[in-house]
Amino acid sequence: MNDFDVAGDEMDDHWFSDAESESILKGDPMSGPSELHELVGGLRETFSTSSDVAAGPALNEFLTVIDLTTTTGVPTGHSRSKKLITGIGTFVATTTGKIVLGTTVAAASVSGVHAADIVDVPGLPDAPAAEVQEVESAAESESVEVTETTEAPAAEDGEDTDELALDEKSKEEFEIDDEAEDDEDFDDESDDDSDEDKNHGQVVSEFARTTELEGCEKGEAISELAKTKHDDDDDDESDSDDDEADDEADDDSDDSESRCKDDDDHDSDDDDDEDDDDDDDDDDDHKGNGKEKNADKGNGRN
Amino acid sequence: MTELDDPLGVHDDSASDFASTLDAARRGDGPAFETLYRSLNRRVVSFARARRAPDPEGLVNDVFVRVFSNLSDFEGNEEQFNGWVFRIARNVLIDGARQRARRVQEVLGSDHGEVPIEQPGPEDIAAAQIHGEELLRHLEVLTTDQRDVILLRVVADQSLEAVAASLDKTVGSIKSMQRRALQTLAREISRQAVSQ
Repeated sequence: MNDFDVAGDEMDDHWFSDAESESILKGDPMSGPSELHELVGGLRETFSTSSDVAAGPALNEFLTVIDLTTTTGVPTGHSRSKKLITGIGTFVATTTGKIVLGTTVAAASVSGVHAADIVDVPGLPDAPAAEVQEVESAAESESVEVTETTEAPAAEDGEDTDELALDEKSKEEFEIDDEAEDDEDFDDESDDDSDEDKNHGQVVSEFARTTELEGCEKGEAISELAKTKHDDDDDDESDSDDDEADDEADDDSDDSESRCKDDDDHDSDDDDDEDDDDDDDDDDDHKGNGKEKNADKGNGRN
Repeated sequence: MTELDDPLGVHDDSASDFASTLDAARRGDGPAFETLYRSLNRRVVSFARARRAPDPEGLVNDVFVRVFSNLSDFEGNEEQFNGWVFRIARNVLIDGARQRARRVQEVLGSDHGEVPIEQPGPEDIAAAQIHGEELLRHLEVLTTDQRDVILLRVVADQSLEAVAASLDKTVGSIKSMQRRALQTLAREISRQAVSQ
């Protein structure tokens, strides 16, 4: 028997027209037997769903796909971030990703604890801010004792730095490191320069006291004597422009020159400004060296 | 359809909206897919539950993945589209029932004859606890097509045209089938009332 065959008992009281069937199926209570209405109504109430079905991963591929015909083929930020997040998630899910992530987190944690001075971890440098404060305080105080305590160990550590530089850097850089090494004896050099300046100043001063000249003649003579040192330094500077080490020596000589001029008070204000600049440079050198030395100091703890 | 049948042009607007949504979905537009999904997913899952599908939500996902994957093959209006979706749903249900029946045969290790498509399984036994099971028991007197017509019309709220497209039959055939199905149900209910 198929769906269209008429059964023997079909021609009975339970016969519906198409219109009546539609009314029953649509829930019209006035058509058909009440039991049939209850059945149809019960089916509708029981199985009708009011909430959407959550889309699974395969279906979501369609629901989040972009319209390729309306864009220029460039992925949107959403799809890019989604791919990025998916890629990162895939990588982290691998063994290598887990190792890398774990190592990074552990390193960050140790560094953070060390930076917060909670734990002193050997092999890690101190916080940069503390170094700068130390250097600045040392430069401002100009205390001999403080300078000695900070630079004495740094001089030894600087040699270690130079050894590393010898392996890794070029010959030119090596020369610069030699300068840095020389700068470690900065106090000694500056003392030499100051002695030299003092000698020249003493010569000029002694000349001023002992000369028999007077008035403007005395002044010119003193000025010429004082300028002799200045001219010598200028000659040295012009001869050694290409050499960085010599340039730094020139800075030192300029420094001494400024002191001669300060003593003499014969030069113009512009020259004084230059001298101030030179002094600033020297201060910067001090700070720079101090930083390096302090950094070396940190390395020296190793 | 003439202007007298649709004086406000509402049907035309709806038809044009559906056509534009379908075109956008064919181009791969995500929101268009979502619109189609939202318009039908509740009805499909209701139909799947009434057909005692073991995993109605999973079936809905399978159905729409098939629908969206083969969207370029579809041609027709909204009613025909709905019918096409439910035809796929019926095919998925039938495939699932056959697979379950095959597994039962493999477990039994022998051929016990033809296994009915809607043989109740463990999931179906658990589903018998719900109130709808009693209602569904009334439908067991119907043929598979008659039962699907009733469920599609009542539970899935599909039109005659959509049901006809789902079962690949004419509207007249569907009218005849639903009329006979209701007559059979009315007789069965009367018989049970007399026997009680």
